[in-house]
Amino acid sequence: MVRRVCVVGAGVVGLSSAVCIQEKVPGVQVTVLSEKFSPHTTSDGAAGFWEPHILNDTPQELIRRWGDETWDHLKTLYLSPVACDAGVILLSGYHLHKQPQQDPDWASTVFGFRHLTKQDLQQFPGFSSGWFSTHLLCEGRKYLPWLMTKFKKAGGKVQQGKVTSLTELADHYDVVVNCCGIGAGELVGDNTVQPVRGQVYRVHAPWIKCFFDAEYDGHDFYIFPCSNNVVLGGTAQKGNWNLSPHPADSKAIWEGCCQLVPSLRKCKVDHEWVGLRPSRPKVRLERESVGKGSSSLEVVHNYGHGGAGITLHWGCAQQAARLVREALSLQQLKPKL
Amino acid sequence: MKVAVIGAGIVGMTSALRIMEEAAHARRQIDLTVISEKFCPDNTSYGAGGIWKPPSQEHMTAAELRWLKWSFDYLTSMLKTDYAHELGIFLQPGYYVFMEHVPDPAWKDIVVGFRHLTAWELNNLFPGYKHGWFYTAFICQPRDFLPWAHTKLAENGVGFVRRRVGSLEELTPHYDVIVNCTGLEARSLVQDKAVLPARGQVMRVKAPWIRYFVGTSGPHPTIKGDPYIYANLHDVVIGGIKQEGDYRVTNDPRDTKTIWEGVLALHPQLKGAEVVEEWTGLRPMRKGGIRLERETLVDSKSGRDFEVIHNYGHGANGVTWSHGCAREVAEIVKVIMTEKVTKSRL
Repeated sequence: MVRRVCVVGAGVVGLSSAVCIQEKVPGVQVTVLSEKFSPHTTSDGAAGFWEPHILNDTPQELIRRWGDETWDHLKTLYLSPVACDAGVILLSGYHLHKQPQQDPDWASTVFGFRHLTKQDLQQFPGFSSGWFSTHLLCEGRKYLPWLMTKFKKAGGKVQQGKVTSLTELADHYDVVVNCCGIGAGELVGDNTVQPVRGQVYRVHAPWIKCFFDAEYDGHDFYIFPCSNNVVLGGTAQKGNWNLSPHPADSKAIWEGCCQLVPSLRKCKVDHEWVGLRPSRPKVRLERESVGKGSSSLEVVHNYGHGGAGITLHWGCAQQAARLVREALSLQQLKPKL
Repeated sequence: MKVAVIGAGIVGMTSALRIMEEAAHARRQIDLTVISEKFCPDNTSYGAGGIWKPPSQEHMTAAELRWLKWSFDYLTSMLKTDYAHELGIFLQPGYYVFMEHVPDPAWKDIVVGFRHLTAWELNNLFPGYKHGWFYTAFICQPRDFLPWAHTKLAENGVGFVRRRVGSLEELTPHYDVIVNCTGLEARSLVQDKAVLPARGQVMRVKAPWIRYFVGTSGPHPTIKGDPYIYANLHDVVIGGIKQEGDYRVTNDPRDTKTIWEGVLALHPQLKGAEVVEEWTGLRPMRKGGIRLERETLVDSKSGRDFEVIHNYGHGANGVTWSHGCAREVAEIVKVIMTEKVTKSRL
């Protein structure tokens, strides 16, 4: 008997979960149900830079495990002919600080992590220390359509719509995977989900061949070259739901980035964008049985990835697929009445 | 003092720029003309991607290291302006991989952040290669730099003449100093048999997500030849052809195939990338290395002395050497000027 799985949400977490479930769980028909699809999701506007970020109290071992699994996955894509289609890029660059910082946990995952020398720092007046490392970047704008193609080719179904409560899906599905990101708060009444508002510019500056990330005095100015434009950011405003670019933020980002790399003053702005990072005290990745009797439903929650959606997505998707398998086995033991 | 620079490639134009700048700085009178048979886009420099990469050797002469340092310093100083990228000047990190543990290059402290590749990087990014370097260096795209140089020189009163110079003596009645930046043509102009071409063919493809260079030194078990990839401003240069003694300047489909085979084995993600340009050029190699020296010759007709500064034979690394060699040339011109002033005071 074919078991029906519904993945709610079509951002990077939702689509990768859907693909992993197809690959790892036998005998299922997977449907992705979402209000928004690429290019209108949060994942589409993000630069997609691999680096664990804004994860609050998520346990370090989990960040390590999910992050490293995602890194390996991105690396495999990067080395294959599909790298361009999937939006996976190799990118080196600088983290800059005004005071020495402890080495990050991800130092041994990325390629060639080292401290900046005096010679390096000459390029960056005002900064006294930093790191140089080589990362992978996975652009949502390309990766999501690539995942969707993969998903459909493997027989996945897609439905557009807004879900107001999980139990409304109980009649049609055996397991629901909740990948709603910022929408999860409303959907399951989880008020620990908070937006961390990020505003960026996307500009044309093809001479920028490295990333730059400068953290100081509570600011985080960053420059990430992507497939065919450069992201300038950013902001990290907790609890701010405003999706329109704010002129004061635009000015601060522009000044901050141009101070870091003066040649940016000559670049051409393509557009501005705002995304709401779906932040939570910890990533929620666990099973839950909801409802009772005929409207009972097995749910796998996979949301709250903060600023690390792309960084953790594949590791989390693999775990979500394992939980779906568990949920289905459990259901077989207690059939729906 | 009348100075002629023969050759308008990266070596000639940087020499002219430096001579002009030094003269202006010293408030000296110099009448400078650039004479060339070819100008951009018809010269060797135009098609070059412009990567700063000297030969990989462990030992270099003090002069060579001086020119390399001056060159890197010049490009670094250009970065402080806000128009460096308009000249095609920007920094790029990248990888150079080998099949054996080679000694570090003589210039490792000149580039930024030179280090060896970790075993992890070699195994994961360049499987099969045994050793590698990672560093950040410059790109200086001649097709952007040379037009800018031309304008700057013209604005400062430098003359340009398009013509082929058959012998130095054609110029001696009109110029006190001749700077010979003729590249491959030096073989016939000054009968230097050590000069020979190394034919190169490259393609430019659309792959804006590639922002680093990869150079290789084979022979690798599965990757044929020595393919290379590096990013320019608007496209990515791919190549791997170096045919010594080959004078053909047209593209060869067999070389196109060789380039693709090597590059796709190295970097499968480039499969299907759109080709926007294919180009062939002859690297001006010279056995024994760069000839950068002053020579005083006697004009056979008038019996007069004339000064020649040779600056040719930069091989595969014209862009790399040019700014540093230009500075050396300008220093020699300064010395000649001082000698002339001294002589005329006697």
